[in-house]
Amino acid sequence: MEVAGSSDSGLVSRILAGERAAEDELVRRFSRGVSVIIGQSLADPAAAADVYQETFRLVLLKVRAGEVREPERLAGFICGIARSLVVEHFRRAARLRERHEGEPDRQLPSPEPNQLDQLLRQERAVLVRRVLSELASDRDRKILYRFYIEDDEKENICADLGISALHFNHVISRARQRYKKIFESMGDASRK
Amino acid sequence: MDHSRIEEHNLIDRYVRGTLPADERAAFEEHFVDCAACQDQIDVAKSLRLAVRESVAETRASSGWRWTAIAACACLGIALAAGSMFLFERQSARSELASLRFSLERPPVVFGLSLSRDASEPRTVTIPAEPRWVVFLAEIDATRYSRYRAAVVGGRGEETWSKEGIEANSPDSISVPIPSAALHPGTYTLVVSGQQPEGSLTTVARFPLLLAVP
Repeated sequence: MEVAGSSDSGLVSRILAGERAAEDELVRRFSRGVSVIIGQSLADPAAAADVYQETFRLVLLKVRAGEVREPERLAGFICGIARSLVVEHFRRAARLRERHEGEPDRQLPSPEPNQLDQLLRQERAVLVRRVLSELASDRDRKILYRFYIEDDEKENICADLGISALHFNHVISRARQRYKKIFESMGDASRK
Repeated sequence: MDHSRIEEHNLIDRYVRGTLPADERAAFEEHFVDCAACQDQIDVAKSLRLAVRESVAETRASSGWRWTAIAACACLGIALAAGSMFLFERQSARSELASLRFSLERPPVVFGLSLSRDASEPRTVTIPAEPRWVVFLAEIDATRYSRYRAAVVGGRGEETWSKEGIEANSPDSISVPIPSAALHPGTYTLVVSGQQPEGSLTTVARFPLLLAVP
């Protein structure tokens, strides 16, 4: 439940009043969501971390300066800044590429996955095999395959396999839930 | 935006696949940026999608077969037994990398430090219980040096952590990312110094910190 002081407009008012705890609360509350938005467009973790930090730096500057015109839509304001910075990142990267066109790129990272990437990849493979094995039928496996590998649209899959949208949602949702549960149990095991 | 609409219109998967129109995407982001349940669902959908793709690619590469949808699904099912064994064999390797993995997967915790506000009184910082990055966004005049050094210094002048070669984010701030495992409860000072090209250091800011456990 949202308390009055923690509503979007309440948070903006508290920051404007110079309350430092409100700034921490803003970062804490929107931190993960902003990471998801940035990560959706930026695969490079270092670039994503830079954009993430710049997003909160700018958000706090603008909130302190009273530049949030609709305080009740603070969430939308933050999303907008994150998206703009992602676009700016790509523009800057494109300009840099143009400037250095033809020059050897001495800092090109190795395309080989590192040890951690390999481990995570193997871990995901184990998870998905377990999830797939637990699906009730070949038809359900086909649904996952066509949805995740072939990028087929839900409507086409339902029409071809003669299933309802409800059944489709059920299969995808069950697969996600199982995947999450197994993933969490592996995380718990590794912490023990 | 309510969760029944999100479920009904498959917004989670369409978002992950990047097929939502711009206006729907913006509206959905405005909802989930503050919704832990949707963030969880997005994480899981992303990871599952990636895992299915990797699993098929791996089996394709090892078998060299020409794949059809049915063959792929069948082989994925057969691979189960080997996969389950693998889970236990990799346990020890995973635990070694577990803290690194979690620190990478969790978003960093960010604390803004301003010279006008945080240079005189200690800033209380709660060290996260789980491993993750703690990022101090220090507002300084960052135009004077091209690189900076940051150090966490204890009450007796001992350095408990330091990093050199930090570049400014902007003319008025630098980011100092510290793994939470390097922070310990107590009174410290985050000392930011400008690095001259020849290596000498000039202190540009000192931020007293009171590090606490949750």
